[in-house]
Amino acid sequence: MINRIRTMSEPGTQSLESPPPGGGVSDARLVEAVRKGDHDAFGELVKRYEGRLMSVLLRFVRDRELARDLSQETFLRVYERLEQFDPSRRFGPWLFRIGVNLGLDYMRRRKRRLWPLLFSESRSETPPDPASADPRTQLDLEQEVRFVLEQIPEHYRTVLVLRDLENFSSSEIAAILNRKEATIRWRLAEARTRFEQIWRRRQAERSPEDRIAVPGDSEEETDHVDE
Amino acid sequence: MWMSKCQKYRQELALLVGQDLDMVAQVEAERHVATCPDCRVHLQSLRSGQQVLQQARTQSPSNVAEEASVWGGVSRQIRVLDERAGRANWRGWLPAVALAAACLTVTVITTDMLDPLRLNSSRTVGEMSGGSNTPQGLLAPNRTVSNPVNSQPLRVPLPTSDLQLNQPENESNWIPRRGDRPQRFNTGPFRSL
Repeated sequence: MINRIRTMSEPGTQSLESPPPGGGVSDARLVEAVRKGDHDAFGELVKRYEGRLMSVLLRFVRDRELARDLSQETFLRVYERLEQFDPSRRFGPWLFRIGVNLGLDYMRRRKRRLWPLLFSESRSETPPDPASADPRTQLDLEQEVRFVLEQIPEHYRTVLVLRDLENFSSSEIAAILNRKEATIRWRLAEARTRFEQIWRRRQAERSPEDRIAVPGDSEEETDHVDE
Repeated sequence: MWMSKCQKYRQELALLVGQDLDMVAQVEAERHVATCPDCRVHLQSLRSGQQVLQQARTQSPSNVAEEASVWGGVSRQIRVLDERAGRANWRGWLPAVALAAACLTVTVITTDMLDPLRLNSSRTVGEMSGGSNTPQGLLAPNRTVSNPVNSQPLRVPLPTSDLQLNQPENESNWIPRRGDRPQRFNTGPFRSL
């Protein structure tokens, strides 16, 4: 069942294969020019992809300056490895693979660094004060989504972020993560299910007035497939 | 049996909420949902979660387009990389160039060291071919010095003892080899000449 996949481009998906705005030179030609020593061609590639790359990296690292540094690092690595790039394949997914790997590596390193701090003896173990307001009430939707996403294992979370937050198609995610499309779809289904479960549990723990209202949630009751 | 059928559709419903199913699978999943109250509730929950994600997508991360381009920084670092690569290329040739230079130097030095001996030997052989009983290979090289009595140049044989110090015994046609030291020809009483 899972292999009965949607092959056409999803609505609203920004395809990495789409021609550049204004009908400019294709990625393949620019790559060829860069290989011949044309720096300006690489500048064109950078300008073509930097916005989306920054956006993707921001989803992982949540720090604008850091995302900027990582995106710069990504382009440098791309430049260094351009000789290894197979021109018969798509440039965009290859670039995003390098960028996503950099972002994930950074997050793993940071997690390893933070882990001992979280469990160090110096950390104050003060129980929450029932009289004070729940700090979660100050979190907005974005922070709450981030919190829920962090509860999901990385290999599911990455697919969910790329598909549902960054709008990449399943085939593009498969190319970026170097996995079969069926694997990506399976992970996506699992990630959505887990996100929904954690989100629902979090909202149930909150008082009704603290729950985050999502537009369209109320009409959802009648909007499902009954007809 | 019924549950396993639902389990099979649970995964498809998670794809259905994001419009990730093809038309046939979508119709089939919707047909199942219409007949299964549990899956209907599950689909509803999945849609709620999907709406949260959709809203998060539109909210953040914002204003990425307003960020200044990273091309300036990338361009500077690329130039540094290229310079390093250029230097690395040159360094790659360095051992070969050094080896060639060393070979050339050795060749020049060896040639310089051997040439005077050959010249002297051949000249001596030519000039002393008549009347001398010295074996051809042991001919002592001559040196030409000015004669203070008349203007005729004097031919002074170099001491053969010096030559014999360097040549192997019982070899009449000795040819200098790399390890031999021809400088010793300049030793002895005629060194100042």
